[in-house]
Amino acid sequence: MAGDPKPQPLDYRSPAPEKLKYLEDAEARAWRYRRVLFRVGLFVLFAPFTLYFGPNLIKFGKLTYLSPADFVPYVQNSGVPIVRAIKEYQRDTGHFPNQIHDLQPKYLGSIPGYGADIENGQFVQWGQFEHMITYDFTPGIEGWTVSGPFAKGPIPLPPVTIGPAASK
Amino acid sequence: MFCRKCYAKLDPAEEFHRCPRCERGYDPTDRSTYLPRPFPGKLRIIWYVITTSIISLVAAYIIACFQLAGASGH
Repeated sequence: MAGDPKPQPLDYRSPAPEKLKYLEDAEARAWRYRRVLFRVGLFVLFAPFTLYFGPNLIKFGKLTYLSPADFVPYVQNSGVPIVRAIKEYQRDTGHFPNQIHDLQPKYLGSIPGYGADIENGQFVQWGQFEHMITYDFTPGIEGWTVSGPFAKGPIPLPPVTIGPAASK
Repeated sequence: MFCRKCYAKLDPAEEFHRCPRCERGYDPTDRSTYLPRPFPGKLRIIWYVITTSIISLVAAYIIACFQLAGASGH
Protein backbone atom coordinates (compact mmCIF):
# COMPACT_ATOMS: atom_id res chain seq x y z
CA MET A 1 0.00 0.00 0.00
CA ALA A 2 1.18 3.47 -0.72
CA GLY A 3 0.45 4.78 2.80
CA ASP A 4 2.32 2.03 4.68
CA PRO A 5 5.52 3.08 6.47
CA LYS A 6 8.71 1.96 4.79
CA PRO A 7 10.26 -1.02 6.65
CA GLN A 8 13.53 -0.40 8.40
CA PRO A 9 16.51 -2.07 6.68
CA LEU A 10 18.00 -4.95 8.66
CA ASP A 11 21.40 -4.10 10.03
CA TYR A 12 23.24 -7.36 10.60
CA ARG A 13 26.67 -5.75 10.76
CA SER A 14 26.13 -3.78 13.95
CA PRO A 15 26.37 -5.62 17.27
CA ALA A 16 23.19 -6.56 19.10
CA PRO A 17 22.05 -3.87 21.57
CA GLU A 18 22.59 -6.16 24.57
CA LYS A 19 26.17 -6.68 23.49
CA LEU A 20 26.96 -3.03 22.94
CA LYS A 21 27.95 -2.46 26.56
CA TYR A 22 30.61 -5.21 26.35
CA LEU A 23 32.37 -3.71 23.36
CA GLU A 24 35.94 -2.99 24.25
CA ASP A 25 37.53 0.40 23.86
CA ALA A 26 41.10 1.00 22.69
CA GLU A 27 42.54 0.55 26.17
CA ALA A 28 40.72 -2.74 26.76
CA ARG A 29 41.91 -3.95 23.38
CA ALA A 30 45.49 -3.04 24.30
CA TRP A 31 45.20 -5.03 27.51
CA ARG A 32 43.78 -7.98 25.59
CA TYR A 33 46.82 -7.87 23.27
CA ARG A 34 49.08 -7.79 26.33
CA ARG A 35 47.38 -10.88 27.71
CA VAL A 36 47.77 -12.70 24.40
CA LEU A 37 51.40 -11.55 24.19
CA PHE A 38 51.99 -12.90 27.69
CA ARG A 39 50.63 -16.34 26.78
CA VAL A 40 52.53 -16.45 23.50
CA GLY A 41 55.70 -15.23 25.25
CA LEU A 42 55.38 -18.02 27.77
CA PHE A 43 55.30 -20.60 24.99
CA VAL A 44 58.21 -18.93 23.20
CA LEU A 45 60.15 -19.02 26.47
CA PHE A 46 59.55 -22.76 26.80
CA ALA A 47 60.07 -23.53 23.09
CA PRO A 48 63.86 -24.13 23.34
CA PHE A 49 63.27 -26.69 26.08
CA THR A 50 60.39 -28.33 24.20
CA LEU A 51 62.13 -28.57 20.85
CA TYR A 52 65.83 -28.94 21.71
CA PHE A 53 66.99 -29.26 25.32
CA GLY A 54 64.13 -31.48 26.52
CA PRO A 55 64.31 -34.14 23.78
CA ASN A 56 68.12 -34.22 24.10
CA LEU A 57 67.86 -34.67 27.85
CA ILE A 58 65.38 -37.52 27.43
CA LYS A 59 67.31 -39.24 24.62
CA PHE A 60 70.94 -38.74 25.59
CA GLY A 61 70.82 -37.63 29.23
CA LYS A 62 72.39 -34.29 28.33
CA LEU A 63 71.06 -30.95 27.16
CA THR A 64 72.95 -30.67 23.86
CA TYR A 65 72.92 -32.81 20.74
CA LEU A 66 75.05 -35.94 20.46
CA SER A 67 78.53 -35.41 19.03
CA PRO A 68 81.39 -37.80 18.13
CA ALA A 69 83.17 -36.68 21.32
CA ASP A 70 80.39 -38.30 23.36
CA PHE A 71 81.56 -41.72 22.15
CA VAL A 72 85.07 -41.34 23.61
CA PRO A 73 84.40 -43.13 26.94
CA TYR A 74 82.55 -45.95 25.18
CA VAL A 75 85.35 -46.43 22.63
CA GLN A 76 88.04 -46.30 25.30
CA ASN A 77 86.30 -48.98 27.34
CA SER A 78 85.16 -51.38 24.66
CA GLY A 79 86.91 -50.58 21.36
CA VAL A 80 90.49 -49.74 22.24
CA PRO A 81 91.28 -53.14 23.89
CA ILE A 82 90.10 -54.98 20.77
CA VAL A 83 92.04 -52.75 18.37
CA ARG A 84 95.11 -53.15 20.56
CA ALA A 85 94.66 -56.92 20.38
CA ILE A 86 94.32 -56.74 16.57
CA LYS A 87 97.54 -54.73 16.32
CA GLU A 88 99.38 -57.17 18.60
CA TYR A 89 98.14 -60.07 16.48
CA GLN A 90 99.33 -58.31 13.32
CA ARG A 91 102.72 -57.52 14.89
CA ASP A 92 103.26 -61.11 15.99
CA THR A 93 101.88 -62.98 12.96
CA GLY A 94 102.60 -60.46 10.21
CA HIS A 95 99.07 -60.48 8.87
CA PHE A 96 95.70 -59.05 9.75
CA PRO A 97 93.20 -61.34 11.54
CA ASN A 98 90.42 -62.59 9.26
CA GLN A 99 87.86 -62.51 12.01
CA ILE A 100 87.66 -61.28 15.53
CA HIS A 101 87.64 -64.85 16.91
CA ASP A 102 91.22 -65.27 15.65
CA LEU A 103 92.27 -63.07 18.56
CA GLN A 104 91.15 -65.57 21.16
CA PRO A 105 92.45 -66.60 23.54
CA LYS A 106 95.96 -65.22 23.29
CA TYR A 107 95.25 -61.58 22.46
CA LEU A 108 91.73 -61.09 23.71
CA GLY A 109 90.19 -62.76 26.74
CA SER A 110 86.57 -62.35 25.78
CA ILE A 111 84.77 -61.01 22.75
CA PRO A 112 81.82 -58.68 23.31
CA GLY A 113 78.48 -60.37 22.71
CA TYR A 114 77.15 -57.50 20.55
CA GLY A 115 78.21 -56.60 17.04
CA ALA A 116 81.99 -56.22 16.86
CA ASP A 117 83.81 -57.55 13.83
CA ILE A 118 86.60 -57.08 11.33
CA GLU A 119 85.44 -56.07 7.86
CA ASN A 120 87.60 -55.01 4.90
CA GLY A 121 90.59 -54.32 7.07
CA GLN A 122 88.61 -52.22 9.50
CA PHE A 123 87.40 -52.85 13.01
CA VAL A 124 83.65 -52.25 13.17
CA GLN A 125 81.54 -52.11 16.29
CA TRP A 126 77.97 -51.15 17.11
CA GLY A 127 77.82 -48.37 19.71
CA GLN A 128 75.25 -46.43 21.66
CA PHE A 129 72.01 -45.26 19.98
CA GLU A 130 72.57 -47.58 17.01
CA HIS A 131 75.76 -45.89 15.83
CA MET A 132 78.49 -47.71 14.00
CA ILE A 133 81.99 -47.12 15.32
CA THR A 134 84.85 -47.88 12.95
CA TYR A 135 88.61 -48.01 13.37
CA ASP A 136 90.50 -47.56 10.13
CA PHE A 137 94.01 -49.09 10.15
CA THR A 138 95.10 -47.33 6.94
CA PRO A 139 98.30 -45.37 7.65
CA GLY A 140 97.75 -41.64 7.35
CA ILE A 141 94.04 -41.77 8.04
CA GLU A 142 94.20 -44.18 10.96
CA GLY A 143 91.68 -43.45 13.65
CA TRP A 144 88.15 -43.75 14.98
CA THR A 145 84.99 -42.60 13.24
CA VAL A 146 81.34 -42.81 14.15
CA SER A 147 78.31 -42.78 11.88
CA GLY A 148 74.68 -43.06 12.81
CA PRO A 149 71.38 -41.27 13.11
CA PHE A 150 72.54 -38.64 15.60
CA ALA A 151 76.30 -38.25 15.18
CA LYS A 152 78.72 -38.60 12.32
CA GLY A 153 82.44 -37.87 12.03
CA PRO A 154 85.85 -38.61 13.50
CA ILE A 155 86.01 -39.42 17.19
CA PRO A 156 88.63 -37.21 18.87
CA LEU A 157 90.92 -40.00 20.02
CA PRO A 158 94.53 -40.65 19.01
CA PRO A 159 95.34 -43.82 17.02
CA VAL A 160 95.87 -46.91 19.13
CA THR A 161 99.55 -47.74 19.64
CA ILE A 162 101.26 -50.82 20.97
CA GLY A 163 104.74 -51.47 22.25
CA PRO A 164 107.38 -53.61 20.51
CA ALA A 165 107.10 -57.39 20.70
CA ALA A 166 108.47 -58.91 23.88
CA SER A 167 111.84 -60.55 23.21
CA LYS A 168 112.01 -64.29 23.88
CA MET B 1 38.22 -2.65 38.76
CA PHE B 2 38.07 -5.67 36.46
CA CYS B 3 36.53 -9.13 36.49
CA ARG B 4 38.92 -11.90 37.59
CA LYS B 5 37.42 -14.34 35.12
CA CYS B 6 36.81 -12.44 31.87
CA TYR B 7 38.65 -9.14 32.55
CA ALA B 8 35.53 -7.06 31.82
CA LYS B 9 35.31 -3.63 33.40
CA LEU B 10 33.25 -3.62 36.60
CA ASP B 11 31.13 -0.78 37.82
CA PRO B 12 30.83 -0.78 41.63
CA ALA B 13 28.07 1.81 41.40
CA GLU B 14 25.71 -0.82 39.99
CA GLU B 15 23.21 -2.33 42.37
CA PHE B 16 24.17 -6.00 41.87
CA HIS B 17 27.87 -6.62 42.09
CA ARG B 18 28.12 -9.00 39.20
CA CYS B 19 30.26 -8.95 36.08
CA PRO B 20 28.08 -7.72 33.19
CA ARG B 21 29.69 -10.20 30.81
CA CYS B 22 30.24 -13.47 32.72
CA GLU B 23 28.07 -12.70 35.76
CA ARG B 24 30.78 -13.61 38.23
CA GLY B 25 30.07 -11.99 41.59
CA TYR B 26 32.50 -9.64 43.31
CA ASP B 27 32.77 -7.54 46.42
CA PRO B 28 34.02 -3.95 45.88
CA THR B 29 35.35 -3.92 49.44
CA ASP B 30 37.34 -7.15 48.96
CA ARG B 31 40.37 -6.74 46.70
CA SER B 32 40.73 -10.49 46.24
CA THR B 33 37.42 -10.69 44.32
CA TYR B 34 38.43 -8.42 41.44
CA LEU B 35 41.54 -7.36 39.53
CA PRO B 36 43.06 -3.86 39.69
CA ARG B 37 43.96 -4.13 35.99
CA PRO B 38 42.75 -6.44 33.19
CA PHE B 39 45.73 -8.76 33.40
CA PRO B 40 46.14 -12.17 35.09
CA GLY B 41 46.82 -12.03 38.80
CA LYS B 42 49.80 -13.63 40.53
CA LEU B 43 48.12 -16.99 41.11
CA ARG B 44 46.90 -17.25 37.53
CA ILE B 45 50.38 -16.42 36.21
CA ILE B 46 51.82 -19.20 38.37
CA TRP B 47 49.13 -21.53 37.05
CA TYR B 48 49.99 -20.59 33.45
CA VAL B 49 53.69 -21.25 34.09
CA ILE B 50 52.95 -24.66 35.63
CA THR B 51 50.60 -25.75 32.83
CA THR B 52 52.99 -24.50 30.14
CA SER B 53 55.82 -26.44 31.82
CA ILE B 54 53.76 -29.62 31.84
CA ILE B 55 52.72 -29.17 28.21
CA SER B 56 56.34 -28.46 27.28
CA LEU B 57 57.58 -31.56 29.10
CA VAL B 58 54.98 -33.82 27.48
CA ALA B 59 55.74 -32.35 24.03
CA ALA B 60 59.49 -32.83 24.58
CA TYR B 61 58.89 -36.47 25.56
CA ILE B 62 56.75 -37.11 22.47
CA ILE B 63 59.36 -35.46 20.20
CA ALA B 64 62.14 -37.55 21.80
CA CYS B 65 60.12 -40.75 21.31
CA PHE B 66 59.50 -39.94 17.64
CA GLN B 67 63.17 -39.12 17.07
CA LEU B 68 64.32 -42.33 18.74
CA ALA B 69 61.77 -44.38 16.80
CA GLY B 70 62.86 -42.72 13.56
CA ALA B 71 66.51 -43.39 14.34
CA SER B 72 65.99 -47.05 15.13
CA GLY B 73 63.71 -47.58 12.15
CA HIS B 74 60.88 -49.07 14.23
